[in-house]
Amino acid sequence: MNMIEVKNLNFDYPGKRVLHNVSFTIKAGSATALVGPNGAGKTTLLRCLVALDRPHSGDITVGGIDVTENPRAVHRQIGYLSDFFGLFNDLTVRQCLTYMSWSQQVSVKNVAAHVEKIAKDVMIDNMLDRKAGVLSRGYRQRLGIGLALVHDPAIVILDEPASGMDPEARIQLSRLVRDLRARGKTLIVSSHILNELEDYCTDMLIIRAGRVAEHVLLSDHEARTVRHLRISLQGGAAAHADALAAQTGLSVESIDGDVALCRFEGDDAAQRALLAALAGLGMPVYNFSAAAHSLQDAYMRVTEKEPAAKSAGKEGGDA
Amino acid sequence: MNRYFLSPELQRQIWLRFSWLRVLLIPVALMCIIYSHYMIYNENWALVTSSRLIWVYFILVGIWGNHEAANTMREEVSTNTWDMQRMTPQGTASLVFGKVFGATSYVWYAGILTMLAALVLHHIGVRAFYGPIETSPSTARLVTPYASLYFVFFMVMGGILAHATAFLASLDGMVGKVEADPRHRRPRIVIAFLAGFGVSWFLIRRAGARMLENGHIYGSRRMVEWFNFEMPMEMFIGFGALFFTLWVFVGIYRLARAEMMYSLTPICWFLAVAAISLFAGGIAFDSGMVARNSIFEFARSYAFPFYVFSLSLGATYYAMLAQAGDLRRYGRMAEAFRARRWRKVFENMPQWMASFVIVLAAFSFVLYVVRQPVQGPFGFLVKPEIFISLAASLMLFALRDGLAMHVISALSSGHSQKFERSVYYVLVYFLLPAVHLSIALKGLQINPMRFFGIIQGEGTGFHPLMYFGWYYPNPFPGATIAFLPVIVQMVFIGICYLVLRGRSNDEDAAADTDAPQAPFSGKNTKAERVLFTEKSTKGEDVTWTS
Repeated sequence: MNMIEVKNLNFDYPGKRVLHNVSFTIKAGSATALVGPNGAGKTTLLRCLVALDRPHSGDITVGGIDVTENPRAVHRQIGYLSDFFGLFNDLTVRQCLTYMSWSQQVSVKNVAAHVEKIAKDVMIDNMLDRKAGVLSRGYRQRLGIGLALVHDPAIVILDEPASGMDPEARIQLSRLVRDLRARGKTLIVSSHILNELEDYCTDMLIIRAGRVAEHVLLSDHEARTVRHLRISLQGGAAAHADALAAQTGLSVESIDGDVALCRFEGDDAAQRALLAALAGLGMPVYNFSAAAHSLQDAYMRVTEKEPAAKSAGKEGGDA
Repeated sequence: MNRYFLSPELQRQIWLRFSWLRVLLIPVALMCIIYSHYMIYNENWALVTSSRLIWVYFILVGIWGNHEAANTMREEVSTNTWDMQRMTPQGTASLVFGKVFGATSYVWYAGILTMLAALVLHHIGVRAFYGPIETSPSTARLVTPYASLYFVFFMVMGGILAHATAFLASLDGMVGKVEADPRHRRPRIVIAFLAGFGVSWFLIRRAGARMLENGHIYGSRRMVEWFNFEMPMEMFIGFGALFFTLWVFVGIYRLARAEMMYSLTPICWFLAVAAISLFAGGIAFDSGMVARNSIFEFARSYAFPFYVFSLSLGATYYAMLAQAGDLRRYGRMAEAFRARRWRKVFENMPQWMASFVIVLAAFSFVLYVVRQPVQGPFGFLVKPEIFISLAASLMLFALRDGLAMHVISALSSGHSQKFERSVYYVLVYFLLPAVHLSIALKGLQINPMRFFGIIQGEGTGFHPLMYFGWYYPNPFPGATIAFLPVIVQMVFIGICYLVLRGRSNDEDAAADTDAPQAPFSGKNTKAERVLFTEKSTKGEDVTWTS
């Protein structure tokens, strides 16, 4: 089931267009990494999704509700942490969460208990009586997420949630996001830190120059497309490079001493067959492992593809 | 903390602004003021204290309160908590109520205590200074329940209407404006404060304080005619305050709903402009006002349609200029029009188009009325046609400025627009007239009688003073001087726009050829040019639209 559908979305700031015919769908329960260079239009796209800005044209449906037709109903479904989120600095953490519970019309009898539960969920329960203005960056971020989650939204959208956080806070954030995913929330996380997104993201939406450059479904990607293999060969991999390259679906990308880093196209069964074939050839394989698939690889592959596509397009145009 | 007081936003503001220390501070300060006056002054101490407490009230409610009301949105936007509140499902009315009265809650607490102290001390002081009511008519006049009730009414309305006006002006500066960084949206602060200050000054110092200190607002008791109703001046001002408070709150509510992403049509703006124009038009029926300003008496028969016309045109002009900065609304309207989504067309229709209907209706009324001869002792001196010329000229000049603002917005980037708009106004209303007139007047003798004769339609000579007609709305009879110059200017602005757009199209094309292409941009470039052409910068990731 699709939780978010975007069709031909265009958005203009006065005098310039920043989103061009953006279309994609996001499945319920998925965790999507929204990545792209600065100024690509990620934040604008998120603000259109959460009905904070009105697009020039196009359709956005969130949970079956048309965002442009009924933005207020969409607000109830979404918890949004903006990249430049603000806090009520002169209120205590407890007051901030209480105010937001009232504003979000949370239907619980005991708001105070609800506030303490949320504070515990985002690991800020030890700071309840501190003023928000004196909190460290990490705690402010947690409070921001707590405010976004106070009404238990089905969709959680986090824009640069880890920026400025120390390593410990990032680990805790990662744990919190995994926990949200486990609770069935649909997540969209915009970030430049791809390594962290790897922990919990199932999809990756790459935005470049206001367009969707690629929407990668990572699970499918792993199952049926390209994977990288690290093959260690006793006595040096260079001697066996030709034999490796002769295998179906395998191409050697680099060799470093005993280790050959290879690109392999095929699924798990094909990978098993390859191992059997290498052993059958009597190659001195002492280590055979899949190199960790990373968002970074996928992102780089997309960005590397673009100049080629561009030059191809230019040639076509010239012709 | 399971319940809030009236509205979550009001409760939050109360948390921010009240503490036990601050609650105790006001009564203690008041007691200090009263006691020090009691010790310093003799039998008139209470009257002196009352008068000074009214000033204190004005400083609290009229200055501090307006400052708080004008600044509350700025704080929300700059700290980026406003977006968070926009996404909550709390009702618009609850949010607006919490913001307007919450931001000024402490001011009201201090102000109400001060006002009550002033009222009580005034009653004590009048009795002590003038003697018992039974023996002194002046005492009776100064302490009547009528005067006291009006005093309280004006003091409170002077705060409510002023704070709401300041909040409305502040909110109006940012609604509908979209920035890449939402913190860069800027509510109006100075104008908002000054608007609130003006209202407070009139209602608190002019009306409220005088009702208490004199028993009436002006030197003597006055009556006002409004349409065919005759009522005391204070009652008319009271009704006026209530009327404007209603519309100011409606305005705040509508703007807040726009911020909360509700789709709005310009119907409310249309009704507000119509109602306020008619309300002000009713003053034209006041014979006392005409008698006090006898120079206008000759125009009395034309006053009502002209009041309605002028006010609706002023409102339309403001809306036109305010909405010229963001042309995306027109693009969305055109998009909806192409898709035959009529409701969307109406929702995206600029407000000025709606109120321009009232302007046209009022102009038709002016045309109808002008068929009658001008009344009054000096009526024979005035040609009725000048009213048609003046009305048409005002309307055309407003349209010219609106057109120019739209063209500036279409051709320049957002950051330089304010500067270019200012240059336009300085050029068109000051520099060009100065240069033109100094050349035209050089060596010529101005003959006022000849000028008067030309206005009367005598002779065909052209008087140097008529050059003003090129730059300002004018009442000169005859289309040549009243309409032609402004129409020529509008055509000139249109030609400038087409030329500059053509040139920037060429630059755009050149930049497209030279600059590295963003992926996918090549095939859709033409289709994506939706609104107006912009200067393109090489190497930018975004596509400038046309």
